Amino acid sequence: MSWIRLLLLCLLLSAQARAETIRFAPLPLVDEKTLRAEYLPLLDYLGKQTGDTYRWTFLPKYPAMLQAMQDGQVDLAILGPLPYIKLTERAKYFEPLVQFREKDGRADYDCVLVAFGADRTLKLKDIMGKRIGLTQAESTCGYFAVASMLKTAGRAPGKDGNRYEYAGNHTKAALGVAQGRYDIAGLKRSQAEKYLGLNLHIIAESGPYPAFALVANTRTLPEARRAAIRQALLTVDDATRASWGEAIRFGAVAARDAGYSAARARVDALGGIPEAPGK
Amino acid sequence: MFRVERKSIAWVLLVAIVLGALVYGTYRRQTEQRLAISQAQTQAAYGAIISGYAEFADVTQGWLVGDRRAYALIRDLLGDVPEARGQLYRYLYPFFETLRTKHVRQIQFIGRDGRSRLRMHAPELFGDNLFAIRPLIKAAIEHGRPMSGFENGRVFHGFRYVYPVVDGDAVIGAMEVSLSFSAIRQLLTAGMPENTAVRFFLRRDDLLRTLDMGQDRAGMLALFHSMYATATVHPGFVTEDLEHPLYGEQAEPVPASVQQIEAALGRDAAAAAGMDRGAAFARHTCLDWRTCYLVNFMPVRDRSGAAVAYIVTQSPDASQIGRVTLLGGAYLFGVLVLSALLVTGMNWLRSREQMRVISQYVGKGIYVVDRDGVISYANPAAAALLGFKVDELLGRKAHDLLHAESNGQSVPAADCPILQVALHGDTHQSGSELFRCKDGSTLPVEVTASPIRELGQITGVVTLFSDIRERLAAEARLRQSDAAFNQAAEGVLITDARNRIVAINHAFTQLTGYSEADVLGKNPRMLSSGQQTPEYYQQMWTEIERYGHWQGEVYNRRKNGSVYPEWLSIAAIKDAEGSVTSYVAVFNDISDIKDKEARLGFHGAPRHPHRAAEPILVRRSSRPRPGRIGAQQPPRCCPVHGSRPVQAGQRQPGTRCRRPVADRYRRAHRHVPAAGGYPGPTGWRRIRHPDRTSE
Repeated sequence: MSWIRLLLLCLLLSAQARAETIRFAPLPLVDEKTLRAEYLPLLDYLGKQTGDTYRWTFLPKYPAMLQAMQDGQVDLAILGPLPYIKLTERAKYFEPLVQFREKDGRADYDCVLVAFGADRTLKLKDIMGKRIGLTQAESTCGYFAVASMLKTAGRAPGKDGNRYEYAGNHTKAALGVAQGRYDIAGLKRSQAEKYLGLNLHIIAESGPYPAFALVANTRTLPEARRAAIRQALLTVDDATRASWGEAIRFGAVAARDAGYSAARARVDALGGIPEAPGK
Repeated sequence: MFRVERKSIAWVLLVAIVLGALVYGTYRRQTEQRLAISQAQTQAAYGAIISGYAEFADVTQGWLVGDRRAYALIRDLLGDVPEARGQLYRYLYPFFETLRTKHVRQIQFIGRDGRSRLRMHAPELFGDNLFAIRPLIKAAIEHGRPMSGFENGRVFHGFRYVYPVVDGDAVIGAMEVSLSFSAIRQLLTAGMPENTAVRFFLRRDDLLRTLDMGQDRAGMLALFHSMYATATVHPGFVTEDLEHPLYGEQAEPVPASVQQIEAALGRDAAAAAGMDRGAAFARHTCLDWRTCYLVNFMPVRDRSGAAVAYIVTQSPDASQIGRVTLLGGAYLFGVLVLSALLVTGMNWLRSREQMRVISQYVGKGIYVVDRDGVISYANPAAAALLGFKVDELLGRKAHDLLHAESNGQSVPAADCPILQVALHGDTHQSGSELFRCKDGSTLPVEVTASPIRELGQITGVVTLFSDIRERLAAEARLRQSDAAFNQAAEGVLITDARNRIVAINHAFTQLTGYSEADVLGKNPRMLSSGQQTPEYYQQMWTEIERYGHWQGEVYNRRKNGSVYPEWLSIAAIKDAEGSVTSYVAVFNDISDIKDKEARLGFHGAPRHPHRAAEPILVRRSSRPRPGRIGAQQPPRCCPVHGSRPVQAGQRQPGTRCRRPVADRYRRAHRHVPAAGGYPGPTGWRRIRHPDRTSE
C-alpha cells in the first residue's frame, strides 16, 4: 500500500502548496460559544496540517446553513445525517469526508426522548396532552427522529392530543424539559447525557443514525484538499483530540455517501417534515 | 526700522505669546475641571451601580435563604442529593429569568469543597472546582462571610457577590450572584451623558491564567483567541468583541468614533502608563479641534486590589466647540487689538520720529505750549535762534519769556494773538513779530501759531517761527533796487531767456510811449523801426552770445510811430551753470546828440533812416566783462537822484558823467565804414538769434 501513501502524500503536499481560506460552519446544536470552544481547536489543528486558513462561520438556523452550503458560501461543515440527506437531495456536489465517533467509539448515534423526574416512566403511547420540545425541523433528532420513535408506539408529533414546538437547538430542548416548559424533548443522546444531572431521564431512543460528518463542498474544495483534510482527521493522535469538543473528541472514520442509504430510506418512509407545528 | 519699533514688535509678540499661554492655560484648566467633573460623575455612577447591585444581591440571597422550599433544595444540592439539582433548577428558573431581566448574569451554588453544584445560566456545567480561579468563593466559604468584587471567569467575567450558605453554624457551601460587565456597561451608559460609550478591557495575562486550566483549556484558549481582540488602547489588555454573534441580541457594533478614540489613546503614552500603574485617570482626547471626548479610566480591582480590568467611558465634550470658539475668539481679539495698537503705536512713533527729525533739522524754530502757555517742547532751532538751551525753554511761559514789543517790552497778554490761538482755535500768522532772545535782544520773526486739538478740544498751541532779519534786509535792498530801476533816466527792458519782455521801467515808458501793459510778454522786436539790417542784428546776437553783452546804436520806433536813435546796451544774465536766464537792455534816446552832430557838420554818417544795406556797428567794447549793466551802458550822465534829462555834453551839478557822449560816439564812428553814418533801418523783429531760428 506504499503507493497509496505516496499518493496521499502528494495530495497533501499539493494541498499545502496553495494555502487558501476554508469557510467552516458547525452544526448549530448548541450555542455558538460552546461550539467555538469545541471546534476551534479542530480548525487550529487542520490549519497546521494542511497549511490552510479556516474562517469560522456560524449560522444558527439549519435552513440558512444548508442554503449557504448550496450557494457555495461554506466549504466545510459538520452535518448530521438528516441535514446531509436534505442537502444532497438539492445538490450532488457534497461529499462526506469523515464521520466522528461517539463517546462509545461507534460511528453512529441515537436520538432520545427525555422526560423530567417522575415522568421517567412515561410511555410513548401515553403522550396525550404532553408538550414535546424539538430541536429544528431539519435536525435529525428533531421532528424526524421523534416522529420515528413515536411511530413505533402508533403516535405522531402534533397528533394524538400532544403538541410540539421547535426549541431551536438541543440545549434549549433539554433545558425546556428541565425548566418545565416541555414534558419531553427529543435530542441527541450525547447532548441528553449532559442534562441527566438535572433530573432528566431518557424514556425512548431511536435506532442508530450515521454519526455527524464533516461534509465538503466539492465545487469549492478541490479533491486534494478534501483528501488532505480527511487524512489529517483520520491520523490525528489521541492527545491532540483530547482537547477538542466532545462531539469530535473520540476519533473519526472515513465516510461515504453510501453509508446514508438506510437513513434515506427512513426519511422517505416518514414522508414530509413540517417546517413548523401545524404545517 | 527704528529701534523703538523693533522693541514694540518684540513686546507685542511677547504679549501675544503670554496671552496665548494664558488662553491655553485657561483652556487646559477648564478641560481639567471638566475631566474632574466627568470622572467624579462616572465614578459616582459606577459606584451607585455596584452598591445598588450589592443590595440587590443581598435581597436575592435573603430571598433564597428565606424561602423555605428554595433553602431546602439548596441544602439538598449542597448535600449532593441526586435529584436536587434538577428540582432546584426548575424551582428557581422563573425567579432567575426575572433576575436576568435585571441584568443578573448568573446564580451559582458551590459546595464546601469548591466544586460547582449548579450554574443557573449553564446547568449542564457542574462539578468543576472553582477554588483555584475564584478566590472570592474560597474566601467566603473559609471565612463564612460575604465577599464581593470583580473576577474573571472561564465563561463570563463580572462582578461577584458571594455569600456563604450555612446550615446551623456550619458553612455548607456558597451562593454567588454575578453581574456581567454587559450589565454594568448598559447601566452606566444609561446614567451617563448622551452618546457616552462604555468599554471594558481585561488584563490579558490575568484572563489567560484563568482560561489556561482544566480539560477544556484548548477550547477555552481557542475561544479566547476568537472572541477577544487586543485592545487598541493598550496591548496588555483585551476587549470582548461586542460585534460577535455570541452576544446574540446584545451584539452591537463598535461605533467608528469609539475606534478612532481608542486608536488615539493607543498613541497616548500617558494613558498606557496609567493603565500599567492601575491608576484611575482621565484623558481629554480629540479627533479634531471640534470633536473631543472626556475619557475616564476606572480600574476594576480584584480582591487583592490588583487592577485586572478597566472600565473606560468616552463622553463627548459638548463644550469643546464653545470653549475653543470663546477662548480662540478672545485670543484672536486680543491679538487683533494688540496688532492694532502696534500699528497705531508704530505709526505714532514714526510720525513722532519724523516730526522730531523734521523739527530737529528744520530751519524754523518750533515750540509747543499747553493751554496755559507753558512750553512743553522746543526744537533745537528754536533754542538756537533765541540763544537758549532747549531745557531752558521747557516749562517756561512762552509769552512772558519771548513775546516782545518793538520797544523791548512784553506784549500785553490780552493783545497777544498767539495766546488767542489757544482760546479761539484760529491759526495765527504774522510776518512781523518780535521774540526776545536770552541776551535781551529782540529777534524779528515770522510766526505761525496753530492750535493742537485732541478729541475736539484745544490742548495747546504749536508755534513755528523763523528769523526774518535776512528777509527784511533783502526786502530793503529790493525796495532800493526798485527805486533805482524805476527812477533811472535810461530806459530799461528786461526779457526772459526766450526774449519775452518781463519788465520795463518808467523811463522806458517815457522814451517809447509804451506802457507796461503794452509790452509785457511780447518780443522787443515790436520796437523795431526796420532801419537795421538782419546782418546787423545777427552780428549783435553773435557778440552777445560770445561776450555776454553788446552795445551800439539802433533806431527804434515809439508807440506814436516816430523813429528815434538810441544807444542800446544789452547784457545776457546767466545763472551759475552759465545758462542765460534773461536779457537786460538799457538804452538812451540820442536824438539830441544826433541833432547836435548834424548842426556841428557831421555829415559823414548817412542819415537816411531807411538805409539798410550798410549797417553801422558802433561798439565800445566787445571784451567780455562781468558785470554790471551800468558798465555797459552808453555814456550818459547818471543822476544820483531822479532829475531831468541831461543833454549830451552837458554836466550839471549833482550829476556825474562818465564820458562825453559825443566823444564816445565819435570814437565809435572811427570804426564804422566810411560810407557809414547812422545805421539803416533795423529792428528786433528781423533779428535771428542763433538759438532762436523761429524769430
